[in-house]
Amino acid sequence: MSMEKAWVPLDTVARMYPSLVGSESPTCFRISAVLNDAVSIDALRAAVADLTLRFPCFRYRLGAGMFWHFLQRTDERPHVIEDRGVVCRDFFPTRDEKLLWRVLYGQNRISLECSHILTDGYGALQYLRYLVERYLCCAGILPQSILPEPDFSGAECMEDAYTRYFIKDIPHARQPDRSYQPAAQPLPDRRLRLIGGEINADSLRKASAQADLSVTQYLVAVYLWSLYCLSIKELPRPVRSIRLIVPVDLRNLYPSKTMRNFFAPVLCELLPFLGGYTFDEIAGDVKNQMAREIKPRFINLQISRNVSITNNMFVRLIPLILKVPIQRFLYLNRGMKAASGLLSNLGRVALPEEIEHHIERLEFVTSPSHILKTTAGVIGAGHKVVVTFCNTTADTSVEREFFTFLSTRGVRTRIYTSESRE
Amino acid sequence: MPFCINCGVELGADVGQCPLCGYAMPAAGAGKPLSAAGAATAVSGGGEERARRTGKLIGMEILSVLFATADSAVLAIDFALNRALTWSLYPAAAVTALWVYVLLMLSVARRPLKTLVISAAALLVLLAGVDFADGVLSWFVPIGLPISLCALACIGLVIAAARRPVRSHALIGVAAAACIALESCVIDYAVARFIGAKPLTWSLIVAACMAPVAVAGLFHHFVLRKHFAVDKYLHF
Repeated sequence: MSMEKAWVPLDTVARMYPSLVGSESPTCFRISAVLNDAVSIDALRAAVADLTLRFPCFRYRLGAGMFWHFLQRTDERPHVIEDRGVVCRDFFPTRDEKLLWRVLYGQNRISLECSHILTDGYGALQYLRYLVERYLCCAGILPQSILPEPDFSGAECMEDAYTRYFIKDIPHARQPDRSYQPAAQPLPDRRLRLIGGEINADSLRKASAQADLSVTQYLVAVYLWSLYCLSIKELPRPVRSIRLIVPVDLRNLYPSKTMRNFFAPVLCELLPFLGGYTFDEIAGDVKNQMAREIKPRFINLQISRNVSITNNMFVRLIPLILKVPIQRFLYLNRGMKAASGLLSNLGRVALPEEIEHHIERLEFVTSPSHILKTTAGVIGAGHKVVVTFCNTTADTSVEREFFTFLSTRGVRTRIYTSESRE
Repeated sequence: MPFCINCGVELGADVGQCPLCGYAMPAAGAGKPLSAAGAATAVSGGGEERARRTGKLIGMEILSVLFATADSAVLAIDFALNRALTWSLYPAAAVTALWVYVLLMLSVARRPLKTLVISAAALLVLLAGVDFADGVLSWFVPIGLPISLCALACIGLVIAAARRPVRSHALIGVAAAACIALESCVIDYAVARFIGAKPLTWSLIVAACMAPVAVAGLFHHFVLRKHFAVDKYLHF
């Protein structure tokens, strides 16, 4: 508690996100735990209240200064609201001085919706782990606490880890050009279509091993293959590259306890205008690209670009009122158009067996936009890996190709769906 | 467990259609809407939205008929009495402006910026229409236009102050005081120029009265408010 600051500047990556908060915010993501039994609302409220003081790094709201936004400490109570099926769409933490996260409950589902302004998938996942554990304790399902007491109150938990690992004298990563975008039109009323696949982890690992890839590399390759199949249907003579953003947790490369954003997007690319691809060729390319990109020397280029921009004196002195529309324009027209899709893998979540026993599955949803139309969130727990596609269009070609491809490779998949609206 | 014969994938137990290809399951689940399967996040798609839109469309049609009837009646009565369109042009211009305003407002409900722009456009159209009813634009450009634009800018300023992420009633008061002073000066200057009198007389007294109010508001906002930290607002 003593380490809680009244206000802190946003981290390097988060500085861009307040300008993107809007009706279709790509800054919001959702992690859900689907339990075996119905959720007790009183127990959930008690669990959230119990965790509030243990996660001081989550007790911030957004404030606006003259030049940058900042995080302002607040004593506001967290919102625990009913899940009405509106996924990542009616959450405007910047507008109403709210906390930058909220907890939702459904019939047997506990969800955490969080803005990237505050934290990334790692930070949100830490909170959800403790929330589920506290909930099970409060509901009387677990006799006592199993996880160690959370320790997220140190100054290191609120550090901007990008600046710690920023190396001054290296060049910036190059901004990629525009990539292929599926042509499908958006659903009316800014609706989202969620299609999730519950995949048997063992069969997925087996299929990945057969292709000589890791699970993430395999899913990326299948996603790229799906986009490639769609692109050659839409454009027999493709002119743009197909590019997939794969956010990588940098805590695995650079030791840090930060609970704020600390990830870098790695780009996996196909060049269909140079000739046709088979899946095996895509798999080989993905393996090489990811092995090359996920190394500190290449990640340093990304960090260098992000930190250099926010350190630039000219950029810093632009008033916020001008900075917001400029950032929004650049991000939507250059940043997002550089990718055809996004796949974010939170990995296998380590939960004690006593907790895992009560969880049917975990789900992870990343919010797409009218430009980056399809995103995929991957999360695993127990013997299940869940891939959730979030799509702003009615066209399910990518999802269909993805899941049918897995089925043909012997990966057992069960599909479920839901449609979310504004 | 249901199985889609088109896609070759297993489906959730309560999925009525294959989400990937739309194939309807022949079992009990067939015919169910494409919603929410395993998820408690289920929401029926756009039925409610469509009903709302249809209702809005019908409302707009009814209002259009009413406004058109009012316009026609006024013009017809004037023409019947005088064999020309004279006084009726003023109410007709007002009713038409109101008609356009109401329809546009209905179409951009809950969008403050568009609402403000449309209000501005409707006000300017109304004033220009009333001024032009006698065939020439006389007072609209020198008086109506600057006063209206200034008033709209002032409204925008106050709304912007009220919608700041860190809301402060003192700051809204400061914006309102500044707007009153500015609008007074514009009215004084525009009217004085139009009638050939000395500009900026009484408005300076109004501005002088507003100045202490604004200073007090700023003092309250930046100095007296708790937890104020200059470094927080000015960090770059």
